[in-house]
Amino acid sequence: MSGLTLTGVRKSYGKVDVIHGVDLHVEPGEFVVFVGPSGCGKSTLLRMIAGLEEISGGEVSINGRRVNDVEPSRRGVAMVFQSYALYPHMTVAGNMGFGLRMNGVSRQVVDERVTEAARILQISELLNRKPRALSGGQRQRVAIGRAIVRQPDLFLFDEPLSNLDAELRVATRVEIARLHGQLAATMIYVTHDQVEAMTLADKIVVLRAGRVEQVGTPMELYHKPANLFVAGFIGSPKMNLMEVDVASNGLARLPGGGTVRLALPDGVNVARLRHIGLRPDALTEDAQGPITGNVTVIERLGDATYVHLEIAGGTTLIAKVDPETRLSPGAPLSLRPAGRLHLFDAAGAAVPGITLHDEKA
Amino acid sequence: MTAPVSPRPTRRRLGARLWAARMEYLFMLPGLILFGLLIGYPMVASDWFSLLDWSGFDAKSAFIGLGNYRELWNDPYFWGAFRRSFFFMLGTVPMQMGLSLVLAIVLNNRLMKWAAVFRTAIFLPVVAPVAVTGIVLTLMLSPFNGPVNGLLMSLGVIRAPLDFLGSPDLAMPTLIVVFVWKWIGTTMVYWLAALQTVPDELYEAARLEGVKGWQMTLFVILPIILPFAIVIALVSAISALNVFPLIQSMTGGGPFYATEVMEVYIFRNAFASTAGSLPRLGYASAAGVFFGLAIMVLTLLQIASVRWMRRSTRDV
Amino acid sequence: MSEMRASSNRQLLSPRRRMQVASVFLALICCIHVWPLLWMVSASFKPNAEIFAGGGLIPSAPTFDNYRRAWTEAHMSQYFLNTLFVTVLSTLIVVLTTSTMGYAISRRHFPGRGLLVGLLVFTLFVPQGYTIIPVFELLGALGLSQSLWGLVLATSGGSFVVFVMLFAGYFSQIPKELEEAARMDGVGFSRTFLFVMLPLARPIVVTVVVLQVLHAWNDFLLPLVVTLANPALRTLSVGVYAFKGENYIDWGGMTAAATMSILPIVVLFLFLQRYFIDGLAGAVKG
Repeated sequence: MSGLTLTGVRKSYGKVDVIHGVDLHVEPGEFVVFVGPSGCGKSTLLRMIAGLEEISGGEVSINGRRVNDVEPSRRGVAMVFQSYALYPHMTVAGNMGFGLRMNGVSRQVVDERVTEAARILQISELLNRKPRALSGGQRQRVAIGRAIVRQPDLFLFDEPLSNLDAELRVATRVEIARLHGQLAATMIYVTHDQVEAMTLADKIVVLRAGRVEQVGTPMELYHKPANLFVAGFIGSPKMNLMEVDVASNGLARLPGGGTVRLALPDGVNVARLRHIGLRPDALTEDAQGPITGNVTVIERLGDATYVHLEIAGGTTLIAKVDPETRLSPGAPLSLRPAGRLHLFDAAGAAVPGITLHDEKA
Repeated sequence: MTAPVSPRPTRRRLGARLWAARMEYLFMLPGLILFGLLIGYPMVASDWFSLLDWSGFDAKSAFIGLGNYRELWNDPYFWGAFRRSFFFMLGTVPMQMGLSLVLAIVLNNRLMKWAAVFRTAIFLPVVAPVAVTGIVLTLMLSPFNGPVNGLLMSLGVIRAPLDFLGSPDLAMPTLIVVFVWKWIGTTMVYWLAALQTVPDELYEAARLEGVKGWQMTLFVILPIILPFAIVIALVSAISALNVFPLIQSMTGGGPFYATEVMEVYIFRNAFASTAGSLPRLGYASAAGVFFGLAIMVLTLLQIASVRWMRRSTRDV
Repeated sequence: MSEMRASSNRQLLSPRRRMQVASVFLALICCIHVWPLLWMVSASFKPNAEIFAGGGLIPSAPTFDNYRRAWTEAHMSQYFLNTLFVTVLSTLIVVLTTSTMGYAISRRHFPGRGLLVGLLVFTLFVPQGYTIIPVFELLGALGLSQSLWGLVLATSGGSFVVFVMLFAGYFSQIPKELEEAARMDGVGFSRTFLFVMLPLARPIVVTVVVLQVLHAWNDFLLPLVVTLANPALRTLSVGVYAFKGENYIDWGGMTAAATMSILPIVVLFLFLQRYFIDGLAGAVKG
């Protein structure tokens, strides 16, 4: 089977398990992003694929070949490190060609590949500089160039943008997306930033505490999060989550006493429903709305305005409102749900198929 | 993501782990050989030699147990040398550290012009070979035509030339002063390095608060460089105990053993015994072991105090 | 710096004035430090009679006679070459052995690492008096006591442990990703060391070279002991010492010999001052 396949991959340091059995398949040409909070094991997983970490259990195979005990350099992978890991004493060209030269590739081939990679990355004029004479973004490109010249089957990126400033991060993100299209290469990308994950990925793998929480396309994760964790992690601003009591007739009681009527599909055990989730754009201003509270903060982004609303019980909700709104902090505000609902049971798992009653009506 | 927990290799059988690390061992081999030959073996061999009655490298040796140590214990020359070694250390270290600290503080002042020139000049004797410097100084300190006596007399400080190295009372103090003169540049450079760790903002903050210069030095700078002080004291103390080249070249331990420190004593017994008597390698080894252990205890005490200092400053 | 930063009108002298007073004292101290060197060089160009007569530092009729005597009759030419040989070779050996060992103990895991580090720390300050007898005996056993190679070997041990510690300390600060990048590039252990790690440790290489050159050029007890029975192997320090024992009234010859021994290292220092001073300071900071 071509592509990358992980089967029951585990990692433990002594008695501490950090990766609890991951199964995953990556198709050739796919751009896969591992995302999750610090310490979720995403970098460890990436390093296990690279061969920098021993694999405690399970199997990693690349293009049908088991690589558990294969040296990193013989796996057909190349890695871009978070800190770039450029050799400070070599020029840009030296950095990019080092691995090839050390492995006996002829000078001419090295030069060709370095020139070509530099052209793709638009760093041809920097080839004779040392890394310390480069900006952060340029160093990033050199690090990517070092991966490109090896012509790997699989590119691995370990949080490559986290050392760049915000503006450059966006630009480089676009650059990497363009590169993926141009090289048609398989890429695995680790980040803690869900915006990067959403914008870059063909497929996102959400990890928490060494387990895969959900695998899917960005839009699948956004619209159909499998559980509370994914719901809260994907999307910016975050999904609003409220505790909810649902009666068997579909009447859901929200914090503060307001109610909405839900359309329940057959076979839903209402007693198990515990949380309701609403994205900020699924809340709309309505003087009669069931959710009431006081505005605490107003964030104006120009094209959109978000209000932070403190409701009964101290919960803060965020709602996307009319950009020209005259609201000001301290003002009372009422909202009603208008859009996709997410319901979760006591275990945090999503309960699909529940919509607002009114919509159907 | 955060770096993974320290990447310890998983526990495998020892044989496999040794084999897996063969490159590492191969890599360390030259160093290990050198370490074994020049430090490891001598440390063990010295202990063994110290139990032998052994007069010369060509002669036969005989095991005599702790005989050498028993004899050392009753040897006034040994105790004299032992005492003088530590006396020398106590005579030099505080003076050297104090003077060099003053020099460093003055040289570290931004208003000080020519600081680089002064630093170079004061450091100059450090690089000169000790034994050769010692010999030049014996000429300069000579009571016959020596320029030091000449200068002191023309300045009217003394009326008659002093026999700096030839009189039992003067020889040791002279050597102490020469030692401090020779090595003060090193200590000064250490202090300067320590002072450079004091951030500029601190001076500026103190200045804004109207702190006076001496208060600044006493209450702000000294506490910051105190951890360095212990390291510097340790290094200075060790170097003051390894003073063979200076003393051998200037006085040879004389006059009348007045400047015979431990290393000179060991050298005399092992390699340069007085005419007629045989070299005593076993006996000298015993003295070396005894002295080495004393230094090691001293070192460990100081290292412990460094640890303690670092810990207590980190808590702040 | 401190002292004078705090401005106070009540102080007797302005900061600038106080620095000028301090400068005068410093200048005096510097004179004391430089005088012996100047006197030595000056005396080396004077006939003995003129040295004994005292007088100024400028020789009335400079002569190279002292140098001729020292260079040929006192064999300083031979001693000079010996010293150069021992210094250069022991420095090469020391850089090679301590850098590799420092790298292995700071960056690699292997059985026995803890024990090795413990041994190294334990022997950090072993005095020369402790080891000199077995080292001499060992050179005899290895058949090296009659050649300069024995001296080269023994001189390489001088600050071995300190240098290993300096390298280990430096290597442990280099980000691990650099080695991982090399590993991803398929660069093996020894070539990663040679082409990536060692070039990065240049400051420490410089420090170690400086300290070892100083040590080898200036060492005394070891070459003295090793050459007791073999004057042809003497280094400069031992040669000057022997000169004093043999011609104790030939001050001119002695100062000329001393100048030959001191001047090269002083000139080296003046040219590479920054490295010497940083190197020494680095030894304490590490």
